Amino acid sequence: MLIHSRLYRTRATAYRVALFALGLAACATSPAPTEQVAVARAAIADATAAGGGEYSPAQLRNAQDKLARAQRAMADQDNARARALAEEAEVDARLAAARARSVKAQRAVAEVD
Amino acid sequence: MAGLELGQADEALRRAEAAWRDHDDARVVDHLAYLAQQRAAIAVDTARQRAAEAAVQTANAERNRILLISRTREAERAQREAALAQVQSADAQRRAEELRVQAENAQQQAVAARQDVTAAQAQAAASQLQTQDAEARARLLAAELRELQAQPTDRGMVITLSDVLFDTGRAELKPGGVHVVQKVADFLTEYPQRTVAIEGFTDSVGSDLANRELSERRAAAVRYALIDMHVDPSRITIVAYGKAYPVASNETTAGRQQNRRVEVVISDENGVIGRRRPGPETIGTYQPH
Repeated sequence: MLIHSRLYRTRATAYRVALFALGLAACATSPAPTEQVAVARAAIADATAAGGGEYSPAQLRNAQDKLARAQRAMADQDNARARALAEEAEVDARLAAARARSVKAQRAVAEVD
Repeated sequence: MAGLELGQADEALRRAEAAWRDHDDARVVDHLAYLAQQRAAIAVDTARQRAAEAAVQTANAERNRILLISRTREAERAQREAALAQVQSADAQRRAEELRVQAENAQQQAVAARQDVTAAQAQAAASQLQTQDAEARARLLAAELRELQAQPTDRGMVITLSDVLFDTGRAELKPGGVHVVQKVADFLTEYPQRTVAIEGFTDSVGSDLANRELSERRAAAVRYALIDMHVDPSRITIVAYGKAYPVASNETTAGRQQNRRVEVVISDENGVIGRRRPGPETIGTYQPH
């Protein structure tokens, strides 16, 4: 019973160590920003639909460029860089959409007045 | 206006400041600052968009308000026009009624005029009848006078009772004379406005006095005969001229017989008899009382 108990304790400790090591590894290499890339891609689609290609082409091009680089970085296992690029791609796309909507709204005002 | 976007911008800014304070990797700080800057720009654009949309809404509301006012005014105008049209319609109806009444009056006047024409025609017919009647009477008078062998003179119609209708040297009428006098009486009864003057004449044989007496008695005999025949005495005057006013020569028997006569002068329709003009052989007249 004792032997069994010690053996058990030993195995439990080994399990904990393994878990810790895994956790360290996870901390050291950040996870792939799959979700953020998807968010950036959706934001670009939204900006395109809102007329970003016409009203804010530079921002939209930046977003598309950064999304492509984020995907390449993810493929190169450089997940931190991939996440940062995907985040920038998202805000660029959102600015393109906001600019397009703002310009269209102001044109509507001019038409009404 | 852009609460969510402003919050995100604030959050990004705080993270960037925190990274800078914590002396993080410069690349991390740059990245977070870039995110904050983009988020701020997004907030600005979103605010502009919202403001523009609000302006559009306000403008639309204003336009709708103006539209509503104009439609209200249009409705009011339509109402006024309808009221005016109603008044005009009532006016037109009244005018039509007036015209109808005028037409009726005109018709009545036309009927009255037709009646007048009918009456005038009747009157004309009546007056024509009267005219015809008067003409007939005039023709009858002429016929009666012709029957009496009346001669037209400037004093009127004159009927001569010749000497043969009296007994010689006397004043009694023979039946032939009575017959003539009866016709004169009938004539005077027929024409009550007329009067007669009975004038006696003789030839120049014998004294003037005897002649005047004879002429007077003969004229008076005719007068009495007329009165007997119901002629009013006031319509009969007599004059005795004796041998005055001969109508033929007293040198021959035939002439003297013609001079012995009684003339009945018939007045005009007003009872007036023209005066006898004095002839060249007038000696004087004897006026019986």
